Amino acid sequence: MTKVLVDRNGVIDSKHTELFQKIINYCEKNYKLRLTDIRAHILPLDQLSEMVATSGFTRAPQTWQLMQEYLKIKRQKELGNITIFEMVSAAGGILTKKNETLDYTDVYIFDQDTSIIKKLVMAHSLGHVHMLTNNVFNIRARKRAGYYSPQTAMMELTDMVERMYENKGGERTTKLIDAMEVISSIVAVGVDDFSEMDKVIEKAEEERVHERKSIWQEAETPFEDKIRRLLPKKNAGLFPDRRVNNIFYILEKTQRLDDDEKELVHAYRMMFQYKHGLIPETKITHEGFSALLDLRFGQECSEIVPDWEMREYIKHRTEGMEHIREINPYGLGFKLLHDIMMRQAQGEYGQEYESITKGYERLKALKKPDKEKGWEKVLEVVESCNDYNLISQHFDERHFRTYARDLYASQVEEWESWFQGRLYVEQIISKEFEDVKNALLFHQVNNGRPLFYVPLGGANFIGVGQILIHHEIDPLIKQFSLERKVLTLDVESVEAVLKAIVVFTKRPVHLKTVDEDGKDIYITYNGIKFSETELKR
Amino acid sequence: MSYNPVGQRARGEYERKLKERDGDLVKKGIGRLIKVENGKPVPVSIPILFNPRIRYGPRTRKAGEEESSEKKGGRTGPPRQGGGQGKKGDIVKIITGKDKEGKGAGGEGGEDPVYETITRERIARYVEGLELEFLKPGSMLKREGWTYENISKNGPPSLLSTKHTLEESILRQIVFNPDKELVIGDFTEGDLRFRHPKVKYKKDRDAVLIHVRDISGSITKEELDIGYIISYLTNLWIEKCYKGVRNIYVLHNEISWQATEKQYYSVRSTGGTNFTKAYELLLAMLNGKDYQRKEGLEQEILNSAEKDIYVMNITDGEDVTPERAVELLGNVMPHLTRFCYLETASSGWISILINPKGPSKFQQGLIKKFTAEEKSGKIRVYNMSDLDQVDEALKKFYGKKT
Repeated sequence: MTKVLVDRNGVIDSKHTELFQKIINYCEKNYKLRLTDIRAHILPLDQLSEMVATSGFTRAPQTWQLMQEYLKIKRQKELGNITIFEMVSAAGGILTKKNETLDYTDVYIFDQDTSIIKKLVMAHSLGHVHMLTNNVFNIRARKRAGYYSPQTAMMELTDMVERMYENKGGERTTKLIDAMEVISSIVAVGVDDFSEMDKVIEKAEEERVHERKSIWQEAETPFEDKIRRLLPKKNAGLFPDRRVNNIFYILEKTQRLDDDEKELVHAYRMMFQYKHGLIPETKITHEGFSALLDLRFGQECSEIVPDWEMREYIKHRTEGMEHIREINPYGLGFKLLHDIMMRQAQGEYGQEYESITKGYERLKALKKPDKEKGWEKVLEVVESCNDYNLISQHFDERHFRTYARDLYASQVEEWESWFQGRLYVEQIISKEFEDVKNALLFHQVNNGRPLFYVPLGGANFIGVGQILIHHEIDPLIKQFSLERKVLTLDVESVEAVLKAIVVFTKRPVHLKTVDEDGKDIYITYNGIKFSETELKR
Repeated sequence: MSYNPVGQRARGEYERKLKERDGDLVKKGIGRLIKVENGKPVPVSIPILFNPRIRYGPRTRKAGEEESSEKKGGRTGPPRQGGGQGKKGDIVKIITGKDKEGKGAGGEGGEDPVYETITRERIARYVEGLELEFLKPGSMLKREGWTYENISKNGPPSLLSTKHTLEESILRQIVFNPDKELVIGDFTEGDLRFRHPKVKYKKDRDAVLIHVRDISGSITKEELDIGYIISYLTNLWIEKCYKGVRNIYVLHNEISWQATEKQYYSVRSTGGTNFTKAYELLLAMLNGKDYQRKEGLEQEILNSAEKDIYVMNITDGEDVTPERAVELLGNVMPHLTRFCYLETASSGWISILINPKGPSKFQQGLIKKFTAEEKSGKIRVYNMSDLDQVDEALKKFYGKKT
């Protein structure tokens, strides 16, 4: 049975502990949630903003970005631009005396909300806890962080950054961290070559040992020749013999960095997998499931949420977050999962149902809704899907026509204005199902950001240790039937990234991408200036 | 357990980054960053920091080159998702090409910048970024404080020095009663020692900054704004160089009077122009005579031997009797440390037609009469028509004389 402990400003709050425990018991019993133990903290705005700025870590590297994030969140909350109800963070494990890890989750709740909102927020946070504990992609991201406890990983990173401040001074450390932040934007979400590459290296090492033995056992070969063949080759095993998707790997393993820099790259890689990998990859599923859970809880649990409180709840929902001209992950996820639940409950799934072609016969085939059956399907979906899978598998034409007619696909167009000069205008290009789904899916691939990789030989380009990065274009063009020229990169951001890489490598760096005519080009930065070379096919 | 992960180091690093950013903003020109109303900077939000992140976007230029003027037209960038009302062909967002901060032109996924309200400290930093010449206060003995280097036998109880009194007590016991056991705390009246105060002087002087402002009907709204900004920034810089600064605000059209700070920064332009009235008022201040002033203001008596006097004269130069004004200024000039003359001209096409650009008769006469002062840097003259020239004007008035 899941246990919970609520504190307010560091003092145990027995009233809220009792309430939260009741909600957990109800949800576990009725909604079949599988949760970890929970530590809930009721915090004022200042502290909650700080916790949101660090994504729920009690310690984080002391950088200017952290302060900026904190100020941004606090001001937006004060101005009423955003609403923060809660923050959920997978704290990870505590090692017990019996060498068992005790998994638990931290939940931070805003203390100035009304009692009904607090109750629903508690139920909502249970949805997040269930996802963090059971979703395949969330578990993978946590394991990739290298530790079972992300809190521990973040604490080690914080200590390391503090050491760097002392060893290298504030200016140099800030420069390195800034560069690291910029470089992390070209690493694809959910991509980690390290475990795979380690296996490759192990295998190569085994082969090498086997080869050595066989050379040594050759009877006819002269002794001098044997020795010559057994000597390790220069730079052998240093550069990977395959394409690498994670630039952190190349920086850490092949570049001549000093110890502090190497440690920083390593630590950032670990945290990147957790921080940047976990949240964007499953945002729609996370928020949709949690919203669905707190709706069901509010509707069904009249012991804890009486009817008069529900009226207030509905009012709060209607005044909820407004996403102007943006996709609302809460709305999209909630409608999608609710639709899945209702269709499963009425028997709208399966070969039998799909084989019926006529509309009225399909209506006849519908059964009396069985919510439990539908809920089981929802649990199955949220435990096995990330956002891409959820949309590609379950966002069909029927759902689009019934629930999501407000969605559209748009594109930027270059205009010429006589008084403003060059002008870029975002225009709706389609409201058809296929285009909208395509646009939705495109933005789930690496969270809408471009993809990059280092090709074979790119870690030792021109044989002098320079790095060549390729911009991934062809698979995207094929999958989303796009033209090459639409995948151009913003030049300013390219310049910033190449400059950041040179901070670490201190060697020229090259990027292969496309220009506005769809031709391949190389952009090179040699530490002083940029140059562009067209590649003739 | 505390939940304050944002520590002092993060705050310090953020402050340092802001200072760096301010250095960059100075290059853009101060005039465009500041707006002064009622003597105070209006909160203007300016983007502070921005994390560049790789994103899709139109190639407006080649890497390492400046933006090309060639316009390609047509659709660009990958498809984007959105939600809301509208039909096919509707425009949902307009992104100008000049919008470099925050989300790039047609780009995707850039982080939003943080907006900071501009403060007096930050403006002071911008002014420092212009690398102006630090003004040296004139030499005059000025009481800085008290020192207590000497010890005396008499004094008030508050200045009793326990250390020296104890020393005296021990010394007396050792000299006069060497056989007896030493007693700490055996004081007599003769043992008491007091710290002796001495006044410490420093060669320093206070400054008086007199803002002389023309508010005749020919002054446009733009010129008024320029005046406010220049007055505000000048005050900031003088305060940076001197410990004590007193501002005196003088307004004039056909008549002249001393105004309050609030009136100075909120007055409307009206009436004709007569410089002589303003300089007569300055002379009255210097000679200790009575003059016209706003109710509630006390009479100012200026003494150039005690204080450094700076005059900031802002006008459009259209005076009725320029010869008389220059002559009168000759009486004021020996008392001044520096005389800064800013002649504003509106950049509007109507103003240019009526009054073609060029120095006014007053300015010509000023330079002709005070050639030596102009060469030595005592008189500084600048003609200004645009807010972008604020930096240059400040450099001309308070930079090194070339």
